Formats: sequence, C-alpha cells, structure tokens
Amino acid sequence: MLVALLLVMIALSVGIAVNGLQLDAQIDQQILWQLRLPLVGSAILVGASLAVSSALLQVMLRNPLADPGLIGITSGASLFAAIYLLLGGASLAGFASYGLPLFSFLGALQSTFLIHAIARRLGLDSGAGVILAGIAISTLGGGVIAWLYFLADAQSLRNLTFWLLGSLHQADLLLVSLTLLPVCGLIGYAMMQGQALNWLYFGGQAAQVAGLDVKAFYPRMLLISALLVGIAVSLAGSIAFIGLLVPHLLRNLFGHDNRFILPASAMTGAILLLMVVWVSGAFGGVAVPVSMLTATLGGPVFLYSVIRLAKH
Amino acid sequence: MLEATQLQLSKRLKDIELVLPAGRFVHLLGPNGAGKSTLLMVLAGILQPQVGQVRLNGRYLGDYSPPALAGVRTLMEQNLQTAFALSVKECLTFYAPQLGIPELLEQALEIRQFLSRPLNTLSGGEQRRVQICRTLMQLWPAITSGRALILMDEPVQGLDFAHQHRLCQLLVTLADMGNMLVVSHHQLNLAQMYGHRIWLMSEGRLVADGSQQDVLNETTLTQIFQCGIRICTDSEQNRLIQTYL
Repeated sequence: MLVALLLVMIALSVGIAVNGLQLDAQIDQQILWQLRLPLVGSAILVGASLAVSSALLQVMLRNPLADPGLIGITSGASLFAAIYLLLGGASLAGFASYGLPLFSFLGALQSTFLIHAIARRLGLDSGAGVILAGIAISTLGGGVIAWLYFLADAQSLRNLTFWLLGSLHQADLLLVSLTLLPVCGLIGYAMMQGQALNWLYFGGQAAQVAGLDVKAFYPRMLLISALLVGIAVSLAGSIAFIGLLVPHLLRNLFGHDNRFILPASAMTGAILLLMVVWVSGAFGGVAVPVSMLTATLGGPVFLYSVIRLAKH
Repeated sequence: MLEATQLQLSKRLKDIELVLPAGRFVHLLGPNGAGKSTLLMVLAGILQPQVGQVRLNGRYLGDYSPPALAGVRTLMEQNLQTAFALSVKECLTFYAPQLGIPELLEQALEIRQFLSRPLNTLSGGEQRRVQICRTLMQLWPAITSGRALILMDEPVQGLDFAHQHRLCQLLVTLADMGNMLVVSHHQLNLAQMYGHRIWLMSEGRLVADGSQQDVLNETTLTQIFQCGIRICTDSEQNRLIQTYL
C-alpha cells in the first residue's frame, strides 16, 4: 500500500514537472527549474508536513478533530505574516524577500510555545484543555488580523488576502531545497515513533504504563509538529483542511496503526496537493488559491469519510 | 516483593507502609475518595510520592527505566477512553505486538468473538474485559514466569456475575504462578471468596492490612464504610456479607 502511494506520488510529480515541456529547449529547461520543480517540491513538502503534523496532533491531543489550524499554530503564523506584509515587507527585494517565510515560521513557533506553556499548566494529558487554549489563541490571532485588514491599504490587503488563501507558487528553488532536508528529517523521526504513538490512544498514563517516558515525549513531538507546520506555512501560506482530512481518511480506510498512518499521511498529503496543482493547471496561467481547491476537493471526500464512519 | 515506606502525597496518601510478598492477591477496599486509585498509581510509578519510596524486587521504582518497568508491572486504569474507533484487535496488538490472546485469558474473559469490532461499539462490561486482557497481555512473558506486579483499578465494574467470578479465578491462578496482584473494587463477597489479603483504606490511610478473617468483620467495615454491614454464615459454612443503610 505504501509503495503504491509512493508510486502515485512520483508519477504525479514527474507528470506535472515535465508536462508539455521539451527538455532539450533552453527556455523549457528554465521553466522546469525555475517554476515547475519549486511548485512540485512545495506541493510535496507542504502536503506531507501538514498531514503528518495533524496526524501527530490528533493522537497526542486524543482528538480526531485536532489540526494545526484549529489549535492556533497556523493563526500565529498568519498573524506574523500579516504584520510583515502590512509593514511593507512585500516590497523588499533580494535576500530580504525571504522575510515573509521567516516571519511566518517564527509566528508558528511563538504560538506553539504559548500553547505548550498553557498545556503544561493544564497538565500535559489534557487534550481538551490544549485544544480550547488553542482555539482561544487562534481566535485572538484572527481578531488581530481582522484589525489589520480594517487598517490596511489596498495593495497590502490584496497581498495579505492572497497569502491567507495559500499559494504553492511563492517558494523558489532555493527555499524548497533549504527546507527539504529538515522536513525529511522531522517526518522520518516522527515515523519512527509510531509504536509510542500507538500507546497514546488510551492517554498519557496508559502509554506510561506501557513504557513511554511521556514527560519527555510530549513536548518533543509537539515541537516537531510545530516545526513542520511552520515550514509548511512559510513555504505556501495558510492552507486549510489537508491536515484534518488526510489522517482521518486513512484511519477510516486502513485502521489506526501509526506505523502505517504516518508514512501514508505524508504521501497522501503530498498526493492531494499535487492533485490540486494539477487541477489548477486547468485554469491556464492563473495562480488559483490553494485553500479554495483543497476545500472544494476535500470537502466531499471528508463528508464521504464521515458517512462511512457513521455506518460502521 | 513489593515494599512501600511512609508514602505521602499531599492530602491523598498519608504515611502508608506496606509489604506484598510474591504470589499474593490483595483486595484494595475502601470508600470513594479513600485514595485507592492514587495508591495504585504510586505503586505503578506513574505518580511520584512527595515522601517515601516504593521498591519492587529490591529496586526503587525510580531506578527502573520506563521500558524496564513496563516489562514487570502493569496497571489497569479505571477510566480508559479513546476518541478513535480502534478495533479490539488493534487495541490488543498496539500494546502486545507479538501475541495472540493467551488461552488462560480467553477462557476467563471471552473476547475473541469481539476481535474485529470497534472497541467503542461494545457494551461497558465487554470493553472492560478487553481492557483487562490488554493490561495483562502487555507483560504476559513476565506473568508466565511469575514475576509480574499486576495493579488493577476496579476491573470488576460492569462485569456480569459469571465474568466477575471468572476474573477472580483468573487472578487467583495468576497469583499461584508467583505474581503479585493488587486489585481495588467494592465487592465485599468477592474479597471474602478469593485471594489472600485485604488492604482497607480510609481518608488516605491504610487502616487495616490482614487476612479476610481479620479485616472483614462487622465492626471495622461498618465504621469505615459508614454503612450497615451484616455477616452471616449459610448452610454450607460460607460467610456472606450484606450491606444496608
């Protein structure tokens, strides 16, 4: 099954990358390196990161509804990105153009530390408490962003709106290759923790009884999850729904073993975003907001998954 | 052997001393809020006492690594819930990867029939049987070699009468193999019929520690449980314990 997913992912990547190009032509080579590869790379990295991060959060917070958007990590990133854009960061050129990814990355980390601090006070095992705290932070971030909207000029407003809807066309080859290794490392590490995550289905104490050092494990996995979201958000802005949909669908179809769910989530998340890229290719050269497509494509799939679960 | 000295944990445990030799099955009894669950968690090494130490086979619990401790002791918590639709089979294999259900456990708990069903579609008592099985399978190798510490928080809750007795018989068998068992519950007659020893708790203290004959008497129980207790002997010389208000 994992092999099949991997093959689909590779086939889609190659298909999108070389579609309609003649590789011996200079200009087409440039399109491949400057446009297509960063696009495919972003799709894979962002899809995999978001899906794995959610799969981790859902098990650790003991809630199948948890995703980085719900518990406030994304909104921290969005808030920092909004501040950056409205302070005129978008007009900066050269190396400073990496300010936006950097800022949103910091935003994701900052809100994670805030959530973690609150989680420690509530007791690490309190999934519902962490989620409520996350929703509070998320709402607060959303409120500040709304204020910024209210106060912003027309051009910044457009930049901000576009960022908030997510786009896979933002990252260049340098940024994609810089994030490649960290993402592989983080996802690889997360995948090796499948057994420990399986123990967490019945809560922190049951995992401790089974032999897990929960006090060390929990903050470490929360940080990994936040780093993945941070990277995804800095590559492509805020992308909704992938995180909630992918692990949910996989668990529903193939069971709950995290040793399978984590790698499968990574690949399915990547495949889903590659499909989004593919579909948006049908709109000609226009860069279609990603969240618009993930929501319209993912909504029906999610609904199917929910109905299937209810029938069970 | 399990030993605890002068355990203190805020207002929940007060100055508890206890010794449990190998091969013993202890009933942990006491009113709600007496500290039974807290004591079990401290004995399992999940909660740290503020004062005092727990030693398992001569070693302090803190000196065991988490995986090493998981190989010799298990704890069944009172409330085990998951928001995910795990199947019974997944639930068992996640915690005890290499095993099928041991015959001894299947005879007492009868859960093979549920293997493919999601855990949360089973009735309360059926779920409890699955959790008992999971808790025991988790360290089955240690149990079969008779060196396990088995702690259970209200495992009989929700079980029908036949399964209550089957469970108790299973626990007696496990104790006969050399394992140590501490099991909390509220069934005075089961405590009377099975096992070796009673630990009676009240307001964070261990107020009685002895055989059924010593501890299960009308005066002590009436005083601790704030409830009328009558003990009578039936025609076959069984002691029956009746409660009333």
